[in-house]
Amino acid sequence: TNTHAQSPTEVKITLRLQKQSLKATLSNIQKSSGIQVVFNEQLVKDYDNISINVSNTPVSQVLTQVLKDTQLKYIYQANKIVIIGKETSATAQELYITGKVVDETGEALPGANVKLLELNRNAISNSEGAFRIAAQAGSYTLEVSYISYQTKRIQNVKAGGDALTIELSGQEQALNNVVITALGIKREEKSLGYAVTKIDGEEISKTVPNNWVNALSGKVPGLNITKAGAGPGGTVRITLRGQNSLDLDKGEPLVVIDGVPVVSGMVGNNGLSYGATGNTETPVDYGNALSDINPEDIKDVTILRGPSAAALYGSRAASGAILITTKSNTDKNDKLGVAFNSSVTFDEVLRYPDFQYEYGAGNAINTYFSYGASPDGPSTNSTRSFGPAFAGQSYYQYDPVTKTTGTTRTPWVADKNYVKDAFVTGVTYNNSLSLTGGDSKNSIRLAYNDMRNEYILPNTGYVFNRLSFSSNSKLNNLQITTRVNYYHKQSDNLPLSGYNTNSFMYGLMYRSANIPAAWYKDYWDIKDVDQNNKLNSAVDNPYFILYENLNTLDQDRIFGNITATYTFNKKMSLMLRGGIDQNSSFRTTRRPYSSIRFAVGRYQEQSVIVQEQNYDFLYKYDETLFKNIGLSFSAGGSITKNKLKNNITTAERLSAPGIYTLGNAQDRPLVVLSPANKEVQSLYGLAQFNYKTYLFLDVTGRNDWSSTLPKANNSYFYYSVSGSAIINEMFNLSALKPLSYLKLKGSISQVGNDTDPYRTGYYLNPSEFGGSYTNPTTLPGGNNLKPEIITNREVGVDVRFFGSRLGFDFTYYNSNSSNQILTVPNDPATGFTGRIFNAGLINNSGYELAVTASPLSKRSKLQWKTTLTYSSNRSLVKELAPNVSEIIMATGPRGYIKAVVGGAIGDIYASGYLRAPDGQIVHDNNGLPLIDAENFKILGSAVPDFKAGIQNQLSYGRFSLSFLFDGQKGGDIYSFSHSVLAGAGKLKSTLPGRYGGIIGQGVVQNADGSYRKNDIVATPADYYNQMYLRDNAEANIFDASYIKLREVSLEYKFTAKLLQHIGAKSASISVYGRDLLLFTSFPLYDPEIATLNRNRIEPGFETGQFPSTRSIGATIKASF
Amino acid sequence: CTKDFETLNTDPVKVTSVAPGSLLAPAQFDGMWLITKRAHRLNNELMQYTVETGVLNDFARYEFRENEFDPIWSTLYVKANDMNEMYKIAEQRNDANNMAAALVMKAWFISNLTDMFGDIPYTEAFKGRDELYYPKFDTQQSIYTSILADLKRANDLFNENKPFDSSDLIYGSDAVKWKKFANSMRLRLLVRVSNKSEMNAPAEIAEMFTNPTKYPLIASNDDEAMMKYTGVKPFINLFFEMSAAEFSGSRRMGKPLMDLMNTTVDGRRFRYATKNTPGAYVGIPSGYNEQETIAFADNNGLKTSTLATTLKDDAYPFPILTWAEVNFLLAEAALKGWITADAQSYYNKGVEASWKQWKCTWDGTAGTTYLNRPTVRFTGSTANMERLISQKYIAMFFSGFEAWYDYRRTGYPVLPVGPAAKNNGILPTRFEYPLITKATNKANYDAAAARIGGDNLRTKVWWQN
Repeated sequence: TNTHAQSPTEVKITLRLQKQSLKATLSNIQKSSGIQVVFNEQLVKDYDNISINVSNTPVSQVLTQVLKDTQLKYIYQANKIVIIGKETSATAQELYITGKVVDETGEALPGANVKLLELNRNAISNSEGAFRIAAQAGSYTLEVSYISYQTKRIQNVKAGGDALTIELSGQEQALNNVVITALGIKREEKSLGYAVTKIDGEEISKTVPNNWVNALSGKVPGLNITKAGAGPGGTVRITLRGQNSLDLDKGEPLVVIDGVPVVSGMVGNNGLSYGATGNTETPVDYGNALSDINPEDIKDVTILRGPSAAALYGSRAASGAILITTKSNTDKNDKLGVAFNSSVTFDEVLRYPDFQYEYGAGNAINTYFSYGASPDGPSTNSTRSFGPAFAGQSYYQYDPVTKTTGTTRTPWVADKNYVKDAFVTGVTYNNSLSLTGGDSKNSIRLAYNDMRNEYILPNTGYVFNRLSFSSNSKLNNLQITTRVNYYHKQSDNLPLSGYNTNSFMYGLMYRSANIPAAWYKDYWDIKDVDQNNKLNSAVDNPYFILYENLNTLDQDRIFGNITATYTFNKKMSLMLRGGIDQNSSFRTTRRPYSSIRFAVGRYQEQSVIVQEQNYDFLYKYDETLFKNIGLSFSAGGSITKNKLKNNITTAERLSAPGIYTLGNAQDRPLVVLSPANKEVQSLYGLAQFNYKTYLFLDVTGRNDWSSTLPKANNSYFYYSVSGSAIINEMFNLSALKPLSYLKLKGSISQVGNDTDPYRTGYYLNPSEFGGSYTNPTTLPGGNNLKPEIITNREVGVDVRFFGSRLGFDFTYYNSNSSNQILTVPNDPATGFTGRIFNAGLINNSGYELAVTASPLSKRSKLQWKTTLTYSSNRSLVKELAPNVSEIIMATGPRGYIKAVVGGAIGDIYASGYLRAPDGQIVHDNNGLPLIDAENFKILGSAVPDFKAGIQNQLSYGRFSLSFLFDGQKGGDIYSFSHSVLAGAGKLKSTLPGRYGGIIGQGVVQNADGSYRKNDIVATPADYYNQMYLRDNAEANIFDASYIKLREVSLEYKFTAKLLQHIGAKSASISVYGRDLLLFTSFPLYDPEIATLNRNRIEPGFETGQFPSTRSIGATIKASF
Repeated sequence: CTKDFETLNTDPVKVTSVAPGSLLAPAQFDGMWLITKRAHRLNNELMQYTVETGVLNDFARYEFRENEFDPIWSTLYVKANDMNEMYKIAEQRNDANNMAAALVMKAWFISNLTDMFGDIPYTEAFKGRDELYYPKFDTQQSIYTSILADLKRANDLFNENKPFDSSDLIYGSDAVKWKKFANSMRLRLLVRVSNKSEMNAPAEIAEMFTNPTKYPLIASNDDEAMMKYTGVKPFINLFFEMSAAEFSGSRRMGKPLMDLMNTTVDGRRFRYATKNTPGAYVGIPSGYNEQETIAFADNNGLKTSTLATTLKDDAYPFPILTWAEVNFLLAEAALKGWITADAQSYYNKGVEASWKQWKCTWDGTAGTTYLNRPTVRFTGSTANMERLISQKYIAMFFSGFEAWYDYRRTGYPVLPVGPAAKNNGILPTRFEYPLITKATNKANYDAAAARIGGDNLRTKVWWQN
């Protein structure tokens, strides 16, 4: 309080003590009087046996009485009673130690605590940073401390000497930042020889992303997120430091939740994103286990970027690891805490291609338009938009009421919202409630989350309920923690994605501006039997797709673990843990009668059970060897069991329309079972050495035994060595003024990798014809299969200046992935189209940089922290199998991503224009550009040159604002949608030449074989169609560079006063946005897109994915 | 504690050994679909049965993507491998009928491969399990020698008195019919290589023809090798699952076929094609550029014919080797004097067999009227190869790539090459080797390409020279 302090003569106390020590007596006086009594324990320790009996007596008198038989006396100074020796005369000639406390920029630090250790005297620096402490002549030690600065001791300070200038260095959290490393071992970041990034849970949940992984974008160097763009499931593919496997099913990091690995892959419906024929399906994004984690439960995420960091996790962390720590109650008071937050987020299409609204449906301009035959003539209806201009005229058009040709001419007008109206505003409601409580030995946290998503397409979305429980109990030396999560996800309809007659985006590409979206709404001609797709009979009606082609999901997931840790003593502990992750999905797909692809309907049930069990132990031992060498040793082992059941039963044709059961099948329902079980056993050890506090060395070793490899090769050992040196501590570099921290780090590691189950033995596949079989088309690996080996080397430097207000963290890495277990293509003449084989050498190298800066002084009311991340990776194909020159990693709608020896991973091979010897485009005698569809060349790369992000966090009083820009330079993408939209005249880029025709840039070949400048006027409809042909990848591949305003969040924390009224501990309200702005030259919706194809996300191709969205929302949070 | 690893890593759904006959059905079905689907896509365009007006209109100008032929190579080799494995298992069990069936099916697949590409891997093929990953290419002659011997051997092996336990979709494990199929296949292939004197085809054909007890041939529609789909999944005509747009939407009937059939008022037209708006069967010419082709198809708004929609019925049967074909083969043998027989009567029987195969009314006056049409009648100077092969061309509609093989061998029927045709204006004489073999078996590919005189669409295969 700021009331005037009362002096010892004013304050009266009552005190009765019998034979107490002086220390205890003084404490009692302090307690009774409320005046702080300061003393040096050495001075008072010899006095005891003090008895006193006073009532309502001034403290001054009491003290005199107490001290009368001692060599001590008291003085009253700075509102404190100070006990000093009698020979120390306070009235004697006193000298002063004076000085000024400043920060590393020389700015005064007011309020710093300056302590004179010998006399136990304190002073607080004033607003100019100045302080003064009285002391007799002599040498003293000062200790200066200030919040968030490093405490500094200054020895041999002479009383009465010159004024000191004491500079404090900022105490960056990261200096002794503790991070979780492999196996859940907590480490000081400075002791690590490899790259890690830690992201706080708050950073993730701040903008309430539906898929929390997106909140890592731009914040982690080396992290690349590839989006499926396949609907509300929002599945993404993550790579750290590039694709290090030739197999796109591999190369994703391991995900570990609270120390236990979880399943992160995806089991889809095996749909084809384009070119599907027959009874093949179209992809549905059912989400994946990683995306499903509730961001509200995440305390923090540590990203172990390279294999070195992850070496202890073994095989599955060959591409790095993402360690998630979920929230638990750490507050050990016995009060029940309640917290809730509630948010609503609105999604809308972020960006549309530049559609044209000047010409309607048709193949030529100078004629009339007629939907069906009419008095004006035969039908000119078309899915292309090269028809008549909208010029106020009237035509016989489609009548949405009669669903046929109108009886009168109606105005020919453009609906500028014909694309926008196809979408709706998506809404996500997210409500969470958590309870926490505990006492000195036990603590629990229970949280519930309800999330309801409505996607940007009508009748699509999902409901998610997530319950999580954690507890922590301590029984003497035994600590038991339990985490249990139950998730339930349910959807009545998840949309079909990609380019197929039953996907929404496919149909959208063939609409024209003369047809308002509403004309499609009446989608039945005969309910359940015959759809109305008269506006475009080649595709399904969009509302028929959304309301009848239903893809449902009912998913239950239980995951968690129980951990028991017994601490024998300060040096030894043993941890035992068991964890399970079981994800069971039941999915149905309905295809009604009259579907383009399934004329008599189809119904499918898919049951997927993915289970992973993990059991592990870890023994830890800490020892200090000699004086300055610390040793910590851990040894452990684990068993991981994976089970997968994927049962698909299909009624390929329905007997009666509108009834979706397996019993309604015309044929015997087709059953496809795809189980996969495996087990990996491991033993591992870790030794950490440190010399003083500045040299660190880690050595790890691990041996795995995998059931997936042949007996002779199923045991494999690998190691890692990493070290770091804190140079500024080693060689006291405090003279180098602005430098506050310099760390060098380096590591070398190997990780072995196994493969999928059942790849060694020769199996015949049951065929659809009962009791019959086919030989496998891929030769199994047999007994020669060996584990894959990834060898990684990395070096880095972490340097900080101005008390860590400016920091650079740079890492260079170089890794070789060899002996990859691949399906190498064979000449099918061998009888097999491929063989499973150890082959290939991929070299990944790159660098990662993180720059952090706090430009404003720490004392400033406005705080600003900015973080920049930058990373660049190159993956080169050094070797493939003997005699194999190329491996197709992904096949696009046209072209491939091919790994070719000497090339780079991600190179897109496709065809382009036919060019004359001088490089000019050759046109035919109709003036149309010619395509050289036979020769494929590298037309781009799916891999960006670099990725970067810059995040800013500002706070001013109760407001905090953060925003993040991120993006990439380079990278290319083949856009199938562009080919269709441009070829059909839907885009503004196809407006030039609509009336006059077009003379394309280039040449025409003369009869004698020579070339002349092109002088042939081409018809626009033909010209654009030919130019943007799918085979002309050259005209449909685009630079995927972009910058996005990824996140903005503005938060206001309520004042304590207001909180008292409602009885809350804390409360805040925030508004936020995700993906608010996009800057790019990419002509379609968003260059940050890939294709969900055959259960995996394939980069480099866009095949009619859904538009990306801009999200805006608000959250209110409170805790009680 | 890794004891149970082997059990754990054993696929619980699949099997490691099977009965030989259980390999038959999927190989027949998949092989048939590959040939029929690719014929719909390629043979029908090359032989101008149809002319594509949509995205695949390049085919009619002899332009193909570099990976166009990969599915043929991959599927036929994989299916031939199934038959190779089937033979091995059957041999271990001394299962003569399944051994023989495997030889016939393998000969069907391999002959198609070599007829399309020329020299192909054969003696070193199907040895992936023995770690032979880079098979050398054999000459077409040696391949033919081998498969003709296999077919002869199949005839010896088939025995209706021995068990024939198989999943056969063609004859339901009827060894008698299989024997006829084997000999008819041998007849087809002998005629194909009949230009090569070293193959001694006329004598071999005569030997078969004169000893029908030992070498029975397909002798009725009932005997012919057809894929008679039941219409119940999985045994359905997969064109049923192809969208109408893909099956016929952008395809139009070719002018040569429609003209041939129109002049003779051919009763099979409605089985093959649709009528245009005024109700006529109208085809369009092949080998023009896209715009011209679209204009031909539109026919000034009167439209043109496309493939009959009945062809994509789920139970619509498609032929492998028909009685009609056997008759035309024998007619040719008789015409050329290899056998002592009346060419006209086999020719007439061939036409009749075709009509009956296509379920057209033959009895009464329909058949005789047709056979007496001036451009059908096979007598005197009109009893020539052009007439024979032209009639066979009509009959071989949707019979794999047979029409193209005949055209390459005989030059009939005479087909116009359109003005926009590439390939030096030559109707392709073979397919280019697929990308997959170039990428994975390069040294052997290079050697083969050099030996045949260049891997392009104009090089002639051995039996054409």
